[in-house]
Amino acid sequence: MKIIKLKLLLFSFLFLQFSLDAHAQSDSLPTVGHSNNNKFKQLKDELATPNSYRTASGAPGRDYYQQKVDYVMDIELDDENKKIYGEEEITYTNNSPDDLSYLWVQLDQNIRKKDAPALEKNGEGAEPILRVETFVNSYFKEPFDGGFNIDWVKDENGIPLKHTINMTMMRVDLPQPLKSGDQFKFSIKWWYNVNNHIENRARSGYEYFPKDGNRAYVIAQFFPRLAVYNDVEGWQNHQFWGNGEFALNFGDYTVRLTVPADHVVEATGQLQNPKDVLSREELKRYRQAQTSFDKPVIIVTEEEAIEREKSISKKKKTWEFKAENVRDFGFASSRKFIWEMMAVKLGGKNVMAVSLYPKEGNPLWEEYSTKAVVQTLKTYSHHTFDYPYPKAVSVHAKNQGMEYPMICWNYGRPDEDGSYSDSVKFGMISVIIHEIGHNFFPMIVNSDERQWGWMDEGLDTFMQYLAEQEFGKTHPTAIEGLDKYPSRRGEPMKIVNYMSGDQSFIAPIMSNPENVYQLGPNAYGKPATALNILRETVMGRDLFDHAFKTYSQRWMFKHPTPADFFRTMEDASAVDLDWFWRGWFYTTDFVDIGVKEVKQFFVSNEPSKEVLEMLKNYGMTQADLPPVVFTMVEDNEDFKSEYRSGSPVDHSQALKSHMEENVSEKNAVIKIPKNFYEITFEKPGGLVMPLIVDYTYADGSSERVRYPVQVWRKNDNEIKKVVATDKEIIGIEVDADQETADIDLSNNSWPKTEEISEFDQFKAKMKN
Amino acid sequence: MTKLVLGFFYCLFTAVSFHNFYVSTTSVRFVPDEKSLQITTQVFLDDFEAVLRQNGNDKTRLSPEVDQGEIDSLVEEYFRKNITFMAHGKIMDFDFLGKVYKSDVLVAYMELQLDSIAPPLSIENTIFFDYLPDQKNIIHLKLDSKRKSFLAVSSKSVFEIPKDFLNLNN
Repeated sequence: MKIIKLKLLLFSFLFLQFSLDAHAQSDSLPTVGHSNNNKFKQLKDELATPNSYRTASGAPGRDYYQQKVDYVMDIELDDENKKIYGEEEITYTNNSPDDLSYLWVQLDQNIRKKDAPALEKNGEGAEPILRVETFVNSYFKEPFDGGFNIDWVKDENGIPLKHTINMTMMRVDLPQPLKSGDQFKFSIKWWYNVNNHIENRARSGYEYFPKDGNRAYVIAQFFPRLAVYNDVEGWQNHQFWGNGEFALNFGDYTVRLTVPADHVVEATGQLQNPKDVLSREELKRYRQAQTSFDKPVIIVTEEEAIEREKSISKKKKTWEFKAENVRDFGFASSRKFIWEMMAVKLGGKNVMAVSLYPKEGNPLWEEYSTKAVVQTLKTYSHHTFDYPYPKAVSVHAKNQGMEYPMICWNYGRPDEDGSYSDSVKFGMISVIIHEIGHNFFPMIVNSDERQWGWMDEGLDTFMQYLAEQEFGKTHPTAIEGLDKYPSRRGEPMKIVNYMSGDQSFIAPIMSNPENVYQLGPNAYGKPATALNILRETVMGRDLFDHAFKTYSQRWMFKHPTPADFFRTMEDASAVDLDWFWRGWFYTTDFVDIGVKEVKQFFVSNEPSKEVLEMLKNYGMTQADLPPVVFTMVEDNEDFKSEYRSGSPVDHSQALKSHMEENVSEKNAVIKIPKNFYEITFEKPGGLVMPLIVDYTYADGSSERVRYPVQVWRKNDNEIKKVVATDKEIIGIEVDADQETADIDLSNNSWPKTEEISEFDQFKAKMKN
Repeated sequence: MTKLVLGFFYCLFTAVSFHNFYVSTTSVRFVPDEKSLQITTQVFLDDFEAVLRQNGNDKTRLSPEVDQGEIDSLVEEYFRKNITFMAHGKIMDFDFLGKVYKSDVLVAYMELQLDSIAPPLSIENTIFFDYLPDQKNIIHLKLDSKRKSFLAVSSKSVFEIPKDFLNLNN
């Protein structure tokens, strides 16, 4: 009884000591309280309450629904007058439980109206220095007028429907509310002036080639498209201001594209009438390509394309495409295009990898485009789901990098003499991987880009990094002279510059794309790096890959939100990641963890003065204590140098008796370490991260210890760890492989290494 | 998606892919022992190449594998023209130490001796404003653990360096 009581007392005494230490600075009573600001607080307040549409596990719920919108369109491209005309019949299926009295239709082209409010969205004032073209375009010229002209909106009986246009959104009022489960058919006729996408850096438009007088069109968000109606936004009719991209419905498309007869066309969907639009020779090659698995078949050669450039056909041809379960439709058309394709086997199905480019793209495009498409389909399919569409097309358009279902526009142009630098080559391969990769996010895992840029850009840039690294391995000649593919984004140290930057110019990942200074790192680089760190350092590849695949498959052909992603990654892995989402996605905090102090301590038979003093405060003496081990750091005034020698057991009577009484021969394998260290780790950065420490010993060996991130639960500034070892520690380094994006490495080592700055290194090199 | 060029009319419709915004970073660090400012500027290679081509030879190639002889002087000339230090109305001459390529980035090193300079000292950064209306240049001032940053845009590109970042008395 007495012993138990004493032990209890001792425990509480030790606990008290700990808590006194932890709050050593607060001598007076606290004056203000605080709410729960622990870095490990769960995200319940930030995430929407789970419901029957979206479950707490991050999966679609039993009542999950999405609208279906099917389009049948007749489009005509008037190359001579640079206009595009369309008539579309829309079938809207209301799968929601709600009755709808109006439909919202997106008119993205209205951002190019000459008086569009988006033209005035910035407030940076006059610029003292401007390119001549910019100055003339800004102040001398009537702005280009590229908005939609809506000829009519009619129901299926031809009766005009009342509609109201608000900037880039058109409300179509329904004669009667559309009941849950019902369909509504209506048609829109429209046209607009096609812009030069080189001049205004648009996602869609034409490039003019003055040498041969031709244009290459890459046309997208070019027809009135239904806005999304769902359980989280109601109508997602946030206006298109230019940066926040698209929120779109799945549906089936039948599109007849009428273009000059000498144009070559690629588009979302499968070509329905190759016999009508291809020559006999082209058709033969086109069929041959369907089973060419080792290399592309050239359908239209460079020589043939050059021949076509020389004249302009007055005749027209109509290309018909059909696509199922896509969220959008885009197409490319020109008489300049070279066209090649090959087949890729994915999950027992053949997918066509296709490239379309003017001769200006060669010799780069014939060498690398289709290879990059194939690699992307393989790597992404491996990590998500087998690519479900019949084809993926990479189109070359200057300065472009933009994605649509099954088709995308990509930059990467050699000089006129055909030469190109490594940065042009790798830029081109990377952008193709990125844009083809967008088929997975957001074309199939259909997140709301208008609201959350990172959900597609971040996930895609992360996958892009994996695909680029694979590309380097499968195409060693492409990266000759390098040890791996030079990915621009993905590796932790690449994001340090951004995360350590001025806080006024950075924003949390969970920000709308319109309202951030640096969209590149914000929506692409930082989330991609965060996922890479999750995979490599926090969760490990097995747990991460399974969870990431689970998310992809759960939300394939559906509309996920950030919460669905956050929840699934935890649900499928049993790793609590709320601290990670909270820190990396909801704040602009950064990682800075270091080693602050190292103390060696020793076992002693006698208590130090502090211990005696403490006992006294509790009205105790040494005699009141049960058997205990005393320890002392070397700078304690009571420290005796003899503590250093021999085994710790020799310096403590209590320990010695304990060993003699309790350690018999049968469990004699017990290890008695000689050296005890207390290491203080500091965390000047706001982000908590696992603590990765390399200990180097005097005998030349070293070991890496990974302390769980939870070490920061109770103290967000610094923590102490004890290492008991037979060997002598001679060096300690935190995050030696730079896995965590630590922004300041000057505090990562003990003993402190004098770091020579890159500047001084360079200066010294120049002097020699 | 495509690069973003925000200048007024040029801004709106842009797709974004890699560095869809144009940013350079310049770090300016005062080294008390040497009474000098160490200036390190990073710019994207492809932007810089396009700028040099626009200003002269359209075959200019910035690339470690084909670094032509005259590149160094072109690069130095460009930095001297677009990074300016001024004290009491006079432009201060700095040493251009050189440049290195780091994957898709060019890093330039410059040094300004402050022995005979009395504050106020200002820095002007107009890198790429002649090419990209939306270029943004971030300037980080550093002294020991002190930090301050400016964002230079074409409508505001001159900043005074606060005295406590020069610390010339020590």
